[in-house]
Amino acid sequence: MTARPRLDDYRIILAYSGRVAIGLGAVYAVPLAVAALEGEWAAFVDLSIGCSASLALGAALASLMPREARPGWLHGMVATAVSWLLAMFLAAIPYRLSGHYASWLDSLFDAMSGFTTTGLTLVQDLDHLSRALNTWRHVVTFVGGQGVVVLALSFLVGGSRGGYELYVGEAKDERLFPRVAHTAKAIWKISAVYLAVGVGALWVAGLSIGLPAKEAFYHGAWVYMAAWSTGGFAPMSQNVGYYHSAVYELVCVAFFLAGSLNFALHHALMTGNRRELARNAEVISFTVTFAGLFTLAAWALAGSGTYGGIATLLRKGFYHVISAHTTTGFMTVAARQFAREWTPLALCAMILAMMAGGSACSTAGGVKGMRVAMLWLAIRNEVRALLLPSHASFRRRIHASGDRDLGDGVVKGAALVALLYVATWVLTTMAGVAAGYSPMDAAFEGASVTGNVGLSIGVTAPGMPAALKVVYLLVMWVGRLEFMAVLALGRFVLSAFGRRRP
Amino acid sequence: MSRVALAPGMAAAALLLAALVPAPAFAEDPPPSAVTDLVERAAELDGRRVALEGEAIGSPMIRDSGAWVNIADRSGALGVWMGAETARGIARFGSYGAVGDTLRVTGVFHRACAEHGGDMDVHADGTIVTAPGRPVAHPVPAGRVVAALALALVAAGAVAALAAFGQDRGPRTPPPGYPGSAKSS
Repeated sequence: MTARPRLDDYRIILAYSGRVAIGLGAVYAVPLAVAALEGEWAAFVDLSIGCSASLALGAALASLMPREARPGWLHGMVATAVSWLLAMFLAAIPYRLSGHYASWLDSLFDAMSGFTTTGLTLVQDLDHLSRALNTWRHVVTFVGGQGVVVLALSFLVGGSRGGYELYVGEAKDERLFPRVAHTAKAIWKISAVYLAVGVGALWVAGLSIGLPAKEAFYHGAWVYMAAWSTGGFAPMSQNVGYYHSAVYELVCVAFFLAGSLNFALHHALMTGNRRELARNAEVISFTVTFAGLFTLAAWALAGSGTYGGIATLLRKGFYHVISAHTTTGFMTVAARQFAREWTPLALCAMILAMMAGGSACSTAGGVKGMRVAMLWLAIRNEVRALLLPSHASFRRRIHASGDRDLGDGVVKGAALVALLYVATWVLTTMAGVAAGYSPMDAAFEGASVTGNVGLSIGVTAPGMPAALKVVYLLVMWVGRLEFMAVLALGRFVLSAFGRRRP
Repeated sequence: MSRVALAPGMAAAALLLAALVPAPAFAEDPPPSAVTDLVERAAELDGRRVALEGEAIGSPMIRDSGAWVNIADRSGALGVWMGAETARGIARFGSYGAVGDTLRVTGVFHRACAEHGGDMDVHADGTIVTAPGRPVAHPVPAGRVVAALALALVAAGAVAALAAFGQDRGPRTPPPGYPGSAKSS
């Protein structure tokens, strides 16, 4: 679509976005139930305003669908980008009304951070937040992990044309079933199974570390939602450091590691194909890069003497490197401890881990293990081709839930996305430096924002410059959608000013 | 071992004592540090006696040999390891419905505590309540309730109209993948 869009194009895009808003309105039922259960009526009213606004606006937009709609590729992509922005505005309403955010910008920042499963936060006085609003923060990140559009696809869009474009626009391209709506529902079923197991495990872990039963349940539910979504939000200002427990940390690791795996891999394991775990290129890629980066970080930390014993070094080093690599963002140290206590080499290992990220078609962010594996195999294939006689040929394949051809087009696509990630990280780092932060602080926070991680070195705070908040917000959005949907939106906006269609 | 073990109901007495009697036993205690100061000067203060003053937040977590109480001041929050009986004596912890007791804790600061898995913490040897906590009410503004009800009616009408007149249309042919996709090309 290079010509100026027609009215129907706008109507299709807005109608799909409307359906996503309706889905969001339905999800508000969860924190509303908590507010009613806990008698948090001020929070109930704030949440009900957000819920009603989502349903009303969603229904109004959804009714715009033209009678003879012909949704195409660009409609789906643009609708996804627009849907995420719309969801951000609608989810931020109770944040702003709660009084825990200094401005609308801070509220929008946290909503985008939640949906993109980043986990950076500008909330104030988190330790006194209502249970209902804490539930909403974590539900937002849980929904964002599975995909805002996946939610709508599962229950609202059905099998109609345009569903696949929306799905791919949200950076998910695995189809577990021929129909994309079935795939979306399968993603929710996988998440629901883990939800039950995860909340139960964290509840028991919470009880074992001395939390009262009710607190243990709420914390278990919140932390599970953030862990599975590789989100990084936590109900207390100390993040996971609040619990002071190796057991709690280990249970968290189990679930955020699971969340960072491809949904297709979960599906394969749940349907009995356990061999896939050892053969999957993404799993191998993650294992190799994690082992290398953890070794590097541990070596750097050992040299600094910050952590005197091997046990403490391994616990802090392992937890934060795997939190970074899965793009979760859970922390058991204060943000400024990274700047003050960790060496530059250890921070470089963390930056690389954050940029590498988890698996494709998972809740994780970053370049993704699939692309890292593709690029590594492509380099290996090129070297191999150089060493073989010119007439020799060999198969270029990668295994991830089945063998796939590793053709030039696939490699080019992977390289393009990886390049865009690195370029975005560089620009975000420069924005941080321009705002007055040190290059290392800006690079660390930039990698966290670009990879949708959530670890902070202390840059992200309510007092940071508003312009940098806007940059971070946009980068979180772009990084989560892996550029394509946002680039499609940019092209759509530009075409709106182009020549009219004949 | 904590210098003052608080029992339920003793918080007010402890507050009164702290306010009226400048106890000589505390004369050598260092002035309270902000949590931020402890983080920023961790290497310098590691292993030294410090004082910390802030609100008890969340819940006490009683373990076998002691208890964790997290304390927050305006700059941040930090875990304090103290005796279980001392923790049980803290009457109120900060949450949505309450401001927790304000504690003044003295003890040894650890930059990366070997006993507790490398956590930054303070091992308390003295804890007093300097201000009791209090419940916090969250009144609902009447105007906001009216706005919420009005918006709920609008939403119900809009969803009902969509359900009555809306349709899901269009063929069901998925297009091929996109660049970077493992399934495309």
